[in-house]
Amino acid sequence: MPQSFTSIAKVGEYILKSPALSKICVPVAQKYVNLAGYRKLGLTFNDLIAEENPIVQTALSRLPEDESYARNYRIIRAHQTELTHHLLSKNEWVKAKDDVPYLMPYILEAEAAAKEKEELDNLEVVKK
Amino acid sequence: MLSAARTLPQRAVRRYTVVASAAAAAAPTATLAVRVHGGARYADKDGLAHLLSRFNFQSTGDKSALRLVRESELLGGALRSSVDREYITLQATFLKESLPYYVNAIASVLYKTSFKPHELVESVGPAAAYDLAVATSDPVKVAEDALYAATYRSAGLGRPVLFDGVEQVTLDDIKQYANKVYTQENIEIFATGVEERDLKRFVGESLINTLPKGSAIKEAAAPKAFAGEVRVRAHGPNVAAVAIPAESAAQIPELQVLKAYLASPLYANADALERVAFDSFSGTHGLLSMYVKGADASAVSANIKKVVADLKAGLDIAPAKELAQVDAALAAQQSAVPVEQLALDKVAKFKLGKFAYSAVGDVTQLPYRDEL
Amino acid sequence: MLRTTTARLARRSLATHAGAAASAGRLEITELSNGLTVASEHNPAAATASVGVVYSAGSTAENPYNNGVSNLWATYFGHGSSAVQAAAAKQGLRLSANVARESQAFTVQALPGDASKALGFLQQHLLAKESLSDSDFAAVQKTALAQLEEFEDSNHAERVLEHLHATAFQNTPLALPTRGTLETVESLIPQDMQSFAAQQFHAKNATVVATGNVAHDELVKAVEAQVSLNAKSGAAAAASAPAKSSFLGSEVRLRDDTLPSAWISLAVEGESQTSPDYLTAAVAASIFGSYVAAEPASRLQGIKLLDDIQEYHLADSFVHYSKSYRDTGLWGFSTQISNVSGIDDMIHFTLKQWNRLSISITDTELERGKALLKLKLGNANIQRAADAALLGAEVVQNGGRYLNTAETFKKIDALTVSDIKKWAGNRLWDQDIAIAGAGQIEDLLDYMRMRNDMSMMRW
Repeated sequence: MPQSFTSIAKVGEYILKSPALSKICVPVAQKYVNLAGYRKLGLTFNDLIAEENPIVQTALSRLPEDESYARNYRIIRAHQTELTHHLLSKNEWVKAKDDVPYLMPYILEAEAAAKEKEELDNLEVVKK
Repeated sequence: MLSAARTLPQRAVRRYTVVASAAAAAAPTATLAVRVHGGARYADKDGLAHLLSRFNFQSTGDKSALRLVRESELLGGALRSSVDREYITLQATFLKESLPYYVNAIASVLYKTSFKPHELVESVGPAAAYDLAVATSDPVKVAEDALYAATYRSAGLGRPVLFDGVEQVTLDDIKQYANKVYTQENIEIFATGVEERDLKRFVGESLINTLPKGSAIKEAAAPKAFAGEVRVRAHGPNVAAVAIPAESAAQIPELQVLKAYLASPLYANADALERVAFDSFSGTHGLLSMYVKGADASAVSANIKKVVADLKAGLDIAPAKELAQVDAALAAQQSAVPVEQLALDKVAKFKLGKFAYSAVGDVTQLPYRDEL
Repeated sequence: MLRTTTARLARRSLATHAGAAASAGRLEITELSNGLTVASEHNPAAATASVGVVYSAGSTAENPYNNGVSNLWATYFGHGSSAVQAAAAKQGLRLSANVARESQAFTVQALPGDASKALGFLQQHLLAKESLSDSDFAAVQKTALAQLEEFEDSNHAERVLEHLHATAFQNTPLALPTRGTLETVESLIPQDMQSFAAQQFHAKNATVVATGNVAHDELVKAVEAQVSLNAKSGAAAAASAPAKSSFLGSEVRLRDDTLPSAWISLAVEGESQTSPDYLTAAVAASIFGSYVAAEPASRLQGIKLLDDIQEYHLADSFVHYSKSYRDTGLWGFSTQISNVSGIDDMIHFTLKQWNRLSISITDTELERGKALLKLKLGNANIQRAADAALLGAEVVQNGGRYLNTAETFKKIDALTVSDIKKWAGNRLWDQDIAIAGAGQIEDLLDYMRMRNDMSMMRW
């Protein structure tokens, strides 16, 4: 079982809350993003999340129409760019401020609902 | 495990009505009904009240729809929300000892339903569409809606109850409507099988007591009845229907008795009528409707003409008084909300005055209103 | 059998309720000297009074040649615009009648205080009636045939249940449909009604029931004054008792691809009315409960089967039941399926869940089943107040065993997971099944494939 997004988001929040940790982690993360290079293909980080599972499928189905359209456009453009062994021109690179976690809230909600269902399915009745 | 009543600061003034009836005091189950003056006639958009009713018992700030259903079934209870032209009614039937749980469940629906966008798409929308599909597959139901439209036109009572997507309704519309109708002045609470003292205490401690204050919803103008006609081409059986409006409180008992009369063998042509219904609104208005149904359009035409001719000639409906009383008593006994008592003394003879007409099916073969 | 039970109950109910005079809806039973039983549940707060007569003879008391004759009596009394209906309407009385497999009830609903008027009406128009005139008979037969035709054309769920009884109890009295069939009803003649009434509608077979706002003492007085029934000798009555019914694993298929869905019912032999496991079977049925795909709250229920069903939309609705009769019963489920290529999966997953009842049913599922059964029984208390026929069914069929709700609830609460497992192990695991299907049932697997799902090689 892969780690849940909920736990990853929790760790992220913890790091950002602690000044010492964020001083170390944030620059490393930025370096990683640069090296990964997905922004140069016009993608945002949330575009990279594997979608072949029920949680992300649920999240994707709940995405507003315009965001869903933009996501598909970004992914198709990235495929085309990759296929032709190009990078996008520099002005088309995704800027840090545009790399927003647009899908994450939906994933977290779907994960919370799945966890709640799991709990309720395995509820134990306590007799008083 | 399941939390019992939460205590909240008691407010001094309580404006909403709380009524408990001990009718079934010995039974182990109880019913709790919250009646909201927010039916289709008060909604600004067509089908808005229906969608709001379908949103009841979805996720709230306290708990998800899933958790509510799972907890409720372990406690031995069932929840239901229904809508008509006058009211949205939230109803819970449960084993008596769980009263505080259900008071709180309904309170949190009224107070803090989350109105999540995906619930509208995944759960509320399809359920509403199903309601509509069931209704439109029944030509009598279609004829009923047509009668209301013919009688009251576009005013509140003439609007359709169910959401059909003709007029766009957004999630924000639903939220705003909920804020408008779920107020202290606009709800009534009824319960059967519980002590009035307990009910008042639990309601007083619940979120219902902190519902925002608003004003009792009223329609801008009193409904005005027209002698209209609506024809709907459709596949399937033919229906010809007539509606008689009550435009004052005084007319209501007469139409109640007429309903009992037409639906019983006291009326010689009762066999011709598929259904006779009477709905009253705010105790001042009402609509009696009767439906002739059949596969053969000419038989339907002949029957509706016969019924209207009888009504025009005048009927002695007095013999049906007692039957109307029994019907009212039976309805009262089976309903969680009180049914108005009838004053039938003056009812004697009925002669048709203003009426509306609707035809559904092969309307080319069905008569027009002025041919009746 | 019935005699002794009711007598015992009368004593007990009086003893229990002596101190609780104020409590509403108390059951009282009196047996009159002429053999007639009077049962009532008095609820002084009720807005109506319902009075009726229930005979402990339903479709099982018929035979293949007069099948539907009870239905004709019910139609005569309770439906259509016959002279009886008109007479009742004039007096402000509402009539109803229904035929069950082992009883039939004729009830009158009236305003409080009109109970004796209602009794008088019953006496005049039903109890004193030995036969119908030819013209009345023709009218009743016509109405009954029209209703039967509509039933056959549109009420597929009920039709399948009738056929399930016909196959499960084949060649025994329970196999006969309660309404009769188009063929049998058409062939009936006035003398059939007359001889059936003469044989079955006598004092020893009858219970006068009343619910709502009717005081028991006044009722008994009114019955003594107004009601007179054909008092047949006990020996003759015993002779007319129907033969024993028995269950046989079998199937019946009414395939019709012009219908929009498939309707299927599948059951094992259930508990009889007198069985000590009556409530265990009811709780077991309540654990799997019912489901309606179109209702969002129904989709969220804690029934494990729903996860499979919803992922592939295997069923539009299902309902589990535990039906009990004098000698035997049926325990199973009925379902409506519009996704007709998924019928095999629906049946398979359902039967695999039934297997779990013998192996791995959990405490939470059991508690859920108990709570919902209690809700159902509790609600029945309220419904009875408006309709004496429901009290009649409980008294005549169940001997009033479950009318004391507090006591019944205690018995339900006492059931444990091991009780359920034991019951399922005996009654469900690797047992024969009866199947009935109508509509588009091409995908309903053959009998042995389904029968094999009643057990598992390993778990």
